[in-house]
Amino acid sequence: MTAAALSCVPLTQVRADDSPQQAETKTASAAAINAYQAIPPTQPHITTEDTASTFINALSDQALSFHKNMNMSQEDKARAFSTLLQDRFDMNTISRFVLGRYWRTATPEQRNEYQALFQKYIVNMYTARFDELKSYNVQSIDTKETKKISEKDYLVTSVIRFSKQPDIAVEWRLRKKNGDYRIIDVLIEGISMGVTQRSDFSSVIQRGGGNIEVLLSHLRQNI
Amino acid sequence: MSDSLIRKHIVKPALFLLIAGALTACSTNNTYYAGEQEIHDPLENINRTTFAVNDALDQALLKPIATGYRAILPSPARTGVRNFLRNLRTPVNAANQLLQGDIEGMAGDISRATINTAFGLGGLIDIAADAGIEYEYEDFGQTLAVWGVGSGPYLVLPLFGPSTGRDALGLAVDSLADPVRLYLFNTDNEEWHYARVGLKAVSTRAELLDALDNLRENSIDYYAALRSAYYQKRAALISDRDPDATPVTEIPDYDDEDY
Repeated sequence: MTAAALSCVPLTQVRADDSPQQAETKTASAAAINAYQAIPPTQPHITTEDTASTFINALSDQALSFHKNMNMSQEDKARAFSTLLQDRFDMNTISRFVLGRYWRTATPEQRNEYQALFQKYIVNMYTARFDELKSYNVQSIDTKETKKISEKDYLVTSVIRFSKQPDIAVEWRLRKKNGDYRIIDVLIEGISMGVTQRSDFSSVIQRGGGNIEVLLSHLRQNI
Repeated sequence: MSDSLIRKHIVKPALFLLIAGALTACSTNNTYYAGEQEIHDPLENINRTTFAVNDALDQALLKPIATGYRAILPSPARTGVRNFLRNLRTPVNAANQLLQGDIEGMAGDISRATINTAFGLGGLIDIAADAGIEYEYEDFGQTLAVWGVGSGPYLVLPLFGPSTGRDALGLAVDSLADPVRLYLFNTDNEEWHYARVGLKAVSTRAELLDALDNLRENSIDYYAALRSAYYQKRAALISDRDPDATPVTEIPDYDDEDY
């Protein structure tokens, strides 16, 4: 099951247009994932909670290898991050959740533009956040436990440990579809990124008279 | 402060706010959501103004001080300060645990204070945490919530920042009843109390430097984002981060045909 869940992600495949650093990063990540796959299960069968936490472990390894790779340029990082987001995060679910009830009143053009802008917005945000982390020494990302919280959703609890900072508790909400896991929300110290963003966007639209254009113009400026 | 003064200056205004909030809170114009939680913000215009003032003061004063604090003091020292301040808060914390019926929590607080004071250099080192007794922040606002009191209107307090009718009342009660403060006031050492309050502000602000910066930079409506984050944080604290007690926000399956 582990192999099936992770082999669907072509993230670590070295492509022809990769720079040497990118190839190196991808090879390292592939090696990390292979290492996980090679670990024989200690139980006779692997539960879905285990594969959910394995997904997060693999993602963390990937993210840490980006973090530690000082040689990647801003553009490379943004591109790598964008790919990571598309593959590991369910951007469709997240963007629609964050827009909330205003999705229904949006035109197809507005919807498309919103989702494209939203993706760029998220990539910029997390890439910038990653850059700050550069000055802190991230020691490890340890997964603690996995809980099934609804029919398709799992919550993986983890801790980001730094060498000189207090730990940060991060929870990942995953949804399982067709054997694949994708992240639909991230909670930092109990605060959901999706919920906070939804409150933000809905306030902007509400105070703009219920018009989604107000939000779109803000997002256009932010990119 | 005498009983009647307390009643006049704190309890009456607080009750007024709570009742006013409860009465005005039901207009749908000022109802927002943080996940499943309802937020009532009938005083939004005033709150936004106070928020802007707080933000200006923060950027001009508190944030630079907190940044300097973080730059000058190495991480173990800052952790020591945080631990020491937490230790001082034990009476208030433990009392609230008891009021919430959390005997285990109260016992934990007492154990932590004893162990950390005796063996942790007067509270600077959190040995108890290594032994498995983790810190659990409790305040009277959370106690009121456990007792079933609704949060009341959202309030942005001058200097203190985001709060609610209930939490502001909780803050007042905790401050007034704090044995450490009472001791300092009774022994003519008020300045130590204010020094402690100031240190707490700087220490907390230093811990939140990145989180708040991020929120401020990345949100479009910082006021709304912080309001939402505040409610979520309080819900997490009230349920003591018990995963079974925290309600799960519904995220629909958009691939379903009904969407």
